[in-house]
Amino acid sequence: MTSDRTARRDATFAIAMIAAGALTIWGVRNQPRAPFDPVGAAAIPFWTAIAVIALASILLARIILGHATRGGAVSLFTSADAIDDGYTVEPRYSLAAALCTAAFAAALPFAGFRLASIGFMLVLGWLLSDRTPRAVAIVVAVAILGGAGLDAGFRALMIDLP
Amino acid sequence: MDLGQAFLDLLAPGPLVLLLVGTLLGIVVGALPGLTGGALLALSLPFTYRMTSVDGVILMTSMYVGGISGGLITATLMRIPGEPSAVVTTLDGFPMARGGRPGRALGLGISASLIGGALSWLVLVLLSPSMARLALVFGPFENFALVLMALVLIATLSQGSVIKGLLAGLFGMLVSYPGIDETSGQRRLNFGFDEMAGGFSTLAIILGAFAISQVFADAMHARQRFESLDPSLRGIFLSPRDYLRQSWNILRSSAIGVIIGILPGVGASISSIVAYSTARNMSKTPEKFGTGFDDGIVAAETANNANTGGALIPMITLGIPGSPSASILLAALLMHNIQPGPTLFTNAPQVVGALMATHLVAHVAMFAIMIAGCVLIARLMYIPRAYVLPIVIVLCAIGALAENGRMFDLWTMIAFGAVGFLLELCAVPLGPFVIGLLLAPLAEIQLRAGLMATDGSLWPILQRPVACSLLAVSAAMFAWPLWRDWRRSADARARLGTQTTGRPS
Repeated sequence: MTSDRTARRDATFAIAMIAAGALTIWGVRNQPRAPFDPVGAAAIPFWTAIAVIALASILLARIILGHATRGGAVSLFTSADAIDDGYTVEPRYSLAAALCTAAFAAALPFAGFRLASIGFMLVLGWLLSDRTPRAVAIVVAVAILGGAGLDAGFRALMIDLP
Repeated sequence: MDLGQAFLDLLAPGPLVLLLVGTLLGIVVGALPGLTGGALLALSLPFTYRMTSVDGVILMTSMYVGGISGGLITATLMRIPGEPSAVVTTLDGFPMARGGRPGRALGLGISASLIGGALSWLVLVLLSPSMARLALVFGPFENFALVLMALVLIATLSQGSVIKGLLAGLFGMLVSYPGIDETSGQRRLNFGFDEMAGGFSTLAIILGAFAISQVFADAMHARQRFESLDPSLRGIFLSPRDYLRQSWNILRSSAIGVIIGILPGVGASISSIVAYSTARNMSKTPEKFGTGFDDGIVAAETANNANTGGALIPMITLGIPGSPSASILLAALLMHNIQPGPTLFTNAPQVVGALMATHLVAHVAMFAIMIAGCVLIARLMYIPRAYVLPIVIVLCAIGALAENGRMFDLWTMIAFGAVGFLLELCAVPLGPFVIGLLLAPLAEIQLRAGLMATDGSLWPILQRPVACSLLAVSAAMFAWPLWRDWRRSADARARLGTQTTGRPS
């Protein structure tokens, strides 16, 4: 039987796919067709989007009608249930990592790569560490050496960094 | 292609160092829970830009082999699989290690990995040239039908819901469409943004989906602490009698690994699950599985390494990756302007030779490195993630910026990191997404080339036996799991009806 949580997640996924399909159809609606091309640049995206919307609608209909959808796809991630018994995962750290990464990208054009990466590694490292004096000292060392080292190393390799 | 020369070239100092570094990095990352071999491959993609295509192939193939193999160390010693494909190894590896025989458990796993990899290499070398010759006669419609069949297979065989697998593949295709349409040269789906004129960077999407999403997921376990491990390695070398006793299990599991590897998009995880289940079902003592039994470790580890050789066969002969990790290898070749497929053997024979030679030598290097250093590698687990994850994200950012120096690519990477994380949360497989992303341009070009030749008529596709057969297989592969699910639910409803009414409904 499909749990409520799985059904909610599947429904969200199906709605997001319908939105992606609709956006694609809207995006190719005025695409001109080249004279030599019997199909046109819009056709394949259009029909792919139709297939996406159709399949997502079937998924949504199955959820609404209470049919079970199979979960349990083999994850590319290391399985959380393979982790120690009794260990609790903490999703707030994932959110923190995502927000810090976005802030890092936003700061790059203004602060430059070296400063932004040192700041990013300091903040995220501190958030994820257990914040003992030893851990914080290591986080600071890793951030300064890592940020400055990566910046210098990749500039030496002629990679154009902000 | 001169394979002997490829082996000789590989033993030169530069390529050999690349191979050893790649294998070692693969093993270390494979052993660490969280970051997977796929993430390492994605992360290393931008750094192969400045290498020759042969050096890039050597580095990435050795990482691929190391990544698949490394997962067994922590799976065996700590019941923490570093790679998803090592999950099955924990079932017997950890009980054996905990029972006081960690050396034997590791020895079985490492030896089985080497033999499985070597046998799959043999199949890779023997099967690839003839498969490529066969594919040379394919026209645009056959190639299109082949890509379509690959997408359906990926979705139906990647476990979980077929609809969700198909949707993931189709979503990958949708993401590949923005940018310049290669057939007409027109801009498409840029939504009025100049940054979108060239479309999304494939590299940024792969970095996001494989590496950044993995880091976001791993951050949930940032405060995890691990038990101390038993460093005794007595019994790590197996006796000839051990090999003899396992010979049938090794052959069967290798065959399973190679065959599943050849199927598009089905990774090593499924190979090890199927090989383990088969070994248990065919065993005279199935009750011993899960208690620290030799056969369980050997079946799982032989199959996941045999998968590597199998997965490379369709990638180099047809341009269709056999596993998610092989899809990143495919992306690396495309970035070096090398189109994998039947013509690869004539257009870039040195790349094919390097790939095949590396696949075998990396397995030998993996065996030596893991026998010598497995306990040391397992100790890396104790490095807190708070120190590692920020560096990985910064490396990914450098990778995304290295291609074109555009901030848009960095934001694309972060966005697809979030998308990948959310897809995994919804139990939607990422493999079909990435393979759809990589195969969609090929499918579109082939279909449109075929339709131009037939004035837009699809009818000829049904008149060509190979194309028509491939379409029929796709339709059957799509319909079969749906029909099976429908039968199961119908049976369940019938049983429920019998229970409630007391008579058959």
